[in-house]
Amino acid sequence: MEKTFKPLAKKENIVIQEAEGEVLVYDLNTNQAHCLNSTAAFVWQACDGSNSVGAISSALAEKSGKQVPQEVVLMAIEQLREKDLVEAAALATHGTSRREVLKRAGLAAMIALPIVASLAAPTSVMASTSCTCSTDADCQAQAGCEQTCSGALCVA
Amino acid sequence: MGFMVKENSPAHYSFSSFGVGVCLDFDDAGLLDRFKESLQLIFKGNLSEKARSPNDQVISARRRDDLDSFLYTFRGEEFELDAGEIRLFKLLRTLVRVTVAANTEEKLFIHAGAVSWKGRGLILPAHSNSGKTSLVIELCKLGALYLSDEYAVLDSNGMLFPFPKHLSVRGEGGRFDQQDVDISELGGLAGKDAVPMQMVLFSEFSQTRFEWIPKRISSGEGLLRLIPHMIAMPVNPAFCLRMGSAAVREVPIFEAERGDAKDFAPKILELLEKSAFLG
Repeated sequence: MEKTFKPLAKKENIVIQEAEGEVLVYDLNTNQAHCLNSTAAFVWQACDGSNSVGAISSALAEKSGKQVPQEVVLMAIEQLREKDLVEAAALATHGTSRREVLKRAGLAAMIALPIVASLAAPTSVMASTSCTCSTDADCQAQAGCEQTCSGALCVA
Repeated sequence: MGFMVKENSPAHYSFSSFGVGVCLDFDDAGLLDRFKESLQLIFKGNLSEKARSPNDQVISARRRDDLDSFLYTFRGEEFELDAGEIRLFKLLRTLVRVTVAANTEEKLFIHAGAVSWKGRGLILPAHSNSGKTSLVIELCKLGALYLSDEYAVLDSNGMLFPFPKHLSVRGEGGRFDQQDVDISELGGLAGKDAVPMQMVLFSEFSQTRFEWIPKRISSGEGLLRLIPHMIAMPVNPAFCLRMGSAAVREVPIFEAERGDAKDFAPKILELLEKSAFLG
């Protein structure tokens, strides 16, 4: 399966920012922001629909000078799929765990495991301003503010 | 964001701040004059009057017939405020600040406390009611210079600029029990100059925290965690990520739970000094 599987990264409506080896990806459709560590970022950028998992694994090994089992690449792709950052249609779900990968390859000789951290970005400019709001929920989420949103302000 | 502005408005005032044009459109010239005075408290040196432009962000206010409430418009919608002039002005100042912070492309506004210490900048990104102001006050009592308790203002060269509005010291009753206090009344001094960024600290208050165990996080994770505090993120995410990445490049970023601000402020300054030796 790995030999024929050629993942494709989602690149539309995405804002990308590199940050000292890591990559920030902001999905304009979902308002989700993701931080890809260097391994996840390499895999994501290599997912152009023409590279197989094996090819990505080899390229990553060459770049890092370290051992890169294909399970590492699959682990990255699985996380990227969960975050909707690769096209899901052709994905093989292997469910590879970190523990399995570490057991198989050994920690010392291996590249950093892929990590994709995510959070929701604010959708309102008022979201981070004290006791201002778009909805009642914004007020109720802020300790010390009144509970009802009137216009842009939490009021009694 | 446009909406219909009355022609021949009885009183309006257009100004530019951080490259953002804002038009205040009031139906009462006296009310507008009084509000203009209070605006100077926020935008000292960063506000210049200009001719009205169709591109201005418009904020309007008018008194209702019953004289005890106001109608105001913001981002194209009209709202009622059943309150007096003091509360109206407080609200409008917030709306003006947010309008500028969300639309400028000159600086990045981050919801954070900010101080300088020995010529180096520290920002404390935090949500409202997280004890940010208390921590800023304690840091200033120890000699740090006050830059802001609301917005850290950064440029792409990693410089941190003062945005020293009066501190909002919260009482028991929530937002409207807050008192606006000058830092000098609390034994501190306001910084007047921009300083290079030295450290970012994400520090949540915990009632059960007595140990200080700061953990350094990566630049990418730090930038990710700054996103919810970037005021312009919903308006201009590409700008925020680009500017944020440049502003905190090579700046050490830490996270740590903390207890009482008075006990932990010295530890934070100690960490700030040590961070000068980190790349």
